[in-house]
Amino acid sequence: MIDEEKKYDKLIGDLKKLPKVNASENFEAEVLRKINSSDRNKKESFWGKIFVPENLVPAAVAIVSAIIIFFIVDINSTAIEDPLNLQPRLREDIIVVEEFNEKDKIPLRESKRNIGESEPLKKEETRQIPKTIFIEDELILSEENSEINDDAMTENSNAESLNIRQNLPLGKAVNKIAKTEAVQELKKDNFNFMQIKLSPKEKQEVEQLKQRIQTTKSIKTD
Amino acid sequence: MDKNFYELTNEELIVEFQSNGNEKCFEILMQRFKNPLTNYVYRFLGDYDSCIDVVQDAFIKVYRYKGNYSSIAKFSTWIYTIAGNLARTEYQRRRRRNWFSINSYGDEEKAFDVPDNSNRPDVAADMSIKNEIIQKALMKVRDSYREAVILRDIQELSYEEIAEILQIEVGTVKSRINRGRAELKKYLKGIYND
Repeated sequence: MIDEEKKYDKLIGDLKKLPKVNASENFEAEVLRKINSSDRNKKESFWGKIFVPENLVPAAVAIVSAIIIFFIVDINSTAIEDPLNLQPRLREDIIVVEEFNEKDKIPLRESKRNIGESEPLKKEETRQIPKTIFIEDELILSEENSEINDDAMTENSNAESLNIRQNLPLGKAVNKIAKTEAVQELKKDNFNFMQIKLSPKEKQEVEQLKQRIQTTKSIKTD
Repeated sequence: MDKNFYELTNEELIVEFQSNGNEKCFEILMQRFKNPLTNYVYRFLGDYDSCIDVVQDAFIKVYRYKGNYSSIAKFSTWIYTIAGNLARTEYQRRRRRNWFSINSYGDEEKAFDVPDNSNRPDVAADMSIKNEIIQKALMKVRDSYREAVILRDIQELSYEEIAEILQIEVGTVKSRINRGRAELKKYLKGIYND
């Protein structure tokens, strides 16, 4: 290594003698100025620019409105509601009646055949009446308790009326049902309207009015 | 108070600047290293304006990334590494363009900023044609050899320091220096006849 350095002795000497190049006088001031200016003009990163709160406002509004629309408007629903084809609303009492299973319809049909009613009527009644029929059975069995509440009566009658059908022979049960149907036409207890209890005086007045109407009717017919 | 800072070593100054952000320490380090670095970068690039820009950038990097300095290393090797990397990048950029002039660096404002001629070696009083020829020959030497020769024969650093600055083995440093010298001598045949 020393030999090699000797070999380039002259060259090394000339290189060492090369004049030293110095920095400019205002070097430090220039560096500090650059540092300060670069701090002020520091570039914001791309993500920093994107996530400025003011820039996020329109995006947030768009997202919120999209969510609202998504929940309000059901785009996938194909069913168009046709008011003419809408099913009528079911009455509560009928819904209760339809809780009965198919067995409940059998006695009614048989009873109707015995009575000799027409088929269309039978269909209607199998849909709506079965429960009320057994309610009436119960009423007949205990005619004294005519002021029983409708709801309580229906609940009790479900079980009891079934017992009646099970215990009684078929013929008797049918006759009973026939009777109850006739009663049902006249009974007002099952109808859902307000019953006004009249005082004795009012009753007398009503009776008098009824008699007058009857007399006038009979005079007219005569 | 300032006198105390002047008495501190380079490493103590940078640690003080790191821990307390004392800009006075940074200024003292600038005063100590601005000329050696300018000489090193100028000999490597052969252009004073770009050399000044590179050295300034090196100090700006020291200022910004002061936290990256590890007290295990010498401050001089750290700042020489930064300046050497920047000089190499600048040299490659210039070579790609294969064109340079005073207007090609910096913005328009800078283009008219003519440096102090008293510091420029090509206009200095003791400048000789020999020095100019040596500098031109030096610029012809391969980059990796040139920087090793400059650090050893012009900056007069030890092999170990050069190895640390260039982040290569000491043996590699020695071989690069020898090859660089040989190459340089080849280009300076007219001066060195032997």
